[in-house]
Amino acid sequence: MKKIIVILSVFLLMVLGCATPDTTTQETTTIKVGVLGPFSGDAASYGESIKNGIEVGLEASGLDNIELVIEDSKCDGKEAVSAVNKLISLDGVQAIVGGVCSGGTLAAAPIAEQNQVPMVSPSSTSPDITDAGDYLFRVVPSDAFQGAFGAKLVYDKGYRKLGVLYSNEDYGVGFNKVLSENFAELGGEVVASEAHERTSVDLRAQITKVKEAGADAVYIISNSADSAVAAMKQIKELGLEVALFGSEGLKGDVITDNAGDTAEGLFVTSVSGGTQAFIDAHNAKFESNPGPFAAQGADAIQAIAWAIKLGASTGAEIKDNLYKVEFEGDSGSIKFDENGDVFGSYEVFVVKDGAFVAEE
Amino acid sequence: MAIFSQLTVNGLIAGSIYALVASGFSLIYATNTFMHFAHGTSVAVAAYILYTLFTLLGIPFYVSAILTVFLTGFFGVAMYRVVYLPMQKRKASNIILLIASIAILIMFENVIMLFFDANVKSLQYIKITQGLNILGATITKLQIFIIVFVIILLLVLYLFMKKTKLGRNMRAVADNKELASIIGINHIRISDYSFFLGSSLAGIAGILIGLEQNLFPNMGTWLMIKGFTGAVIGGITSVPGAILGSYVLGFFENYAIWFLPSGYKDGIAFFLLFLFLLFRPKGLFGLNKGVKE
Repeated sequence: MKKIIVILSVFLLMVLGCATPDTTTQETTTIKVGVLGPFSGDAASYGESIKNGIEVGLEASGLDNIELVIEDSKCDGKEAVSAVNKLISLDGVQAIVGGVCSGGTLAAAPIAEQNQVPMVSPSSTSPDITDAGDYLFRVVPSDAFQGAFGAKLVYDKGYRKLGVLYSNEDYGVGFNKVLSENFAELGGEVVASEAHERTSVDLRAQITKVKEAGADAVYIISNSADSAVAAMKQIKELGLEVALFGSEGLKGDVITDNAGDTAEGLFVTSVSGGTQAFIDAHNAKFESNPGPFAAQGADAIQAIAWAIKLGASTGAEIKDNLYKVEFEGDSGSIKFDENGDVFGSYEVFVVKDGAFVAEE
Repeated sequence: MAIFSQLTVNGLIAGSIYALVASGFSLIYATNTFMHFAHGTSVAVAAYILYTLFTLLGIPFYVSAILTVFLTGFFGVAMYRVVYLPMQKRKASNIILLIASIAILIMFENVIMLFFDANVKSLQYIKITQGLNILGATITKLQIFIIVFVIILLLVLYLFMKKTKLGRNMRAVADNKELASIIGINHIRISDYSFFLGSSLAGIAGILIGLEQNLFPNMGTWLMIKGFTGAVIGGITSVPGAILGSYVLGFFENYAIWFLPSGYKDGIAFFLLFLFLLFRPKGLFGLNKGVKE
């Protein structure tokens, strides 16, 4: 009998627990915003960097009624789905900053849309995100732009035979497609295009094929620092004398610290690393330079904050207002088009003496 | 020709790395007959111990390396004494122990992340240069060292299991724990030894793989998957078999990539695992029942 009472009371509590989020949000003005990103696993460094950016952005927004709820998606579709379910059903968030990796974002988006919770991604660049629903926004431009920009960069530097090493998931596949198409259109030739598992640290087979194909430049498309560092080390060991290009995921101190000499001369196309004001604010708060996508993290939370300032409090209202938001963000001008995309610009960095410097 | 020799070398390197993990795993399995997947943890823990001692504290490399091997050995014994042995005393089945080992694997991945953060780390001991050219293939000195080391390891482990008293006792315990106890073999002591030796091998693996591939918190999981696949192919009950199986896996992966799109590399490895589990579950060198080598 005792057991039945215990079970019944637990059940009752669960029912009450599920019902509470709605009433509390009406009583108080606190709006919960979820943060969905990798905080464990090999992409955790991006999650941390973005989270720091979000905290800087939240302070700058001046709103004190936003409560952040952080959930780990491990840069993985399955994990992102359970994390977004928890954020929506259990925590009752009204908007989400995230996801970080395109694969996870694309997996989570339908669930967020079904529950009318808008997602603003700071870093998912896959071209597929453009058509992934009304509730999905991003403050980072699509790889449809970056791929074209990267192709032109390689071509302008005078290389005509490009080898591509790309990670085998939404992000890498989408980027590679745009890059290869554009490079061919410019008149260059993609001589090898080799996929690897996102976290793989043994790329010798792929690099051997690129070497055999006679590439004079190699483009590394990766959002795993482990994998990118391994790729550059093995390119050097296998004796490829090629120019190195990398997607924005390769721009970070973690790359230069660990790849050492092998990263020397690497060109990276990157979305903005943040305005000087943002870099200063980040340094003041964390005593370190912003990592990859930190400025975009700040802009994602500020876009949501602007939508709330325009009078929104529920997910559907925030979504409607996001289409009206327009502001000068830490990573550039933010104004969403009808697909929730922004049009961004890119910067080129090159590794000189073990550090990234802006290329003129 | 150059391509063929490069792929062969790539296969040798990959196989040696898998073999470093598979040998210790198989040694522990040979005595304890349960899947100690947390063996991957030992490799990762070893790499991070070396990182702490050598890169952070600045202790000379060889001293750090020897300390790492011993500490990892004791780490393995601690896992046995703290987790597995109490469970065995409560008559837990091997499936329960397997689940416990996966729990340890996941837990330590996160413990490492807690202390060292999630970023990739490098030991900064060997300067990266272009490899030596042998028959059109390039290979670095470290990689040659790893390959030679693993081949010597293969011979030493074979002789150890066959010729030494401890090796024979290990096989006796694996064959029949009760019977071994009756003739005066302390099976708990033997398990201690096997965990110490197996985990020390993981320590060596952690050092060499750390130098070759850098460090990241979930390296243990990744290595365990490949090491386990190698061990199954070679015959999980045979330590030399596990090493040879790892080479089969390394070669197969690298040669197959030449004909297939490289995105299938891991898929190919698991396809091979699947074939072996279906048609030759005892592996290439394993025996049907019990543990003999």
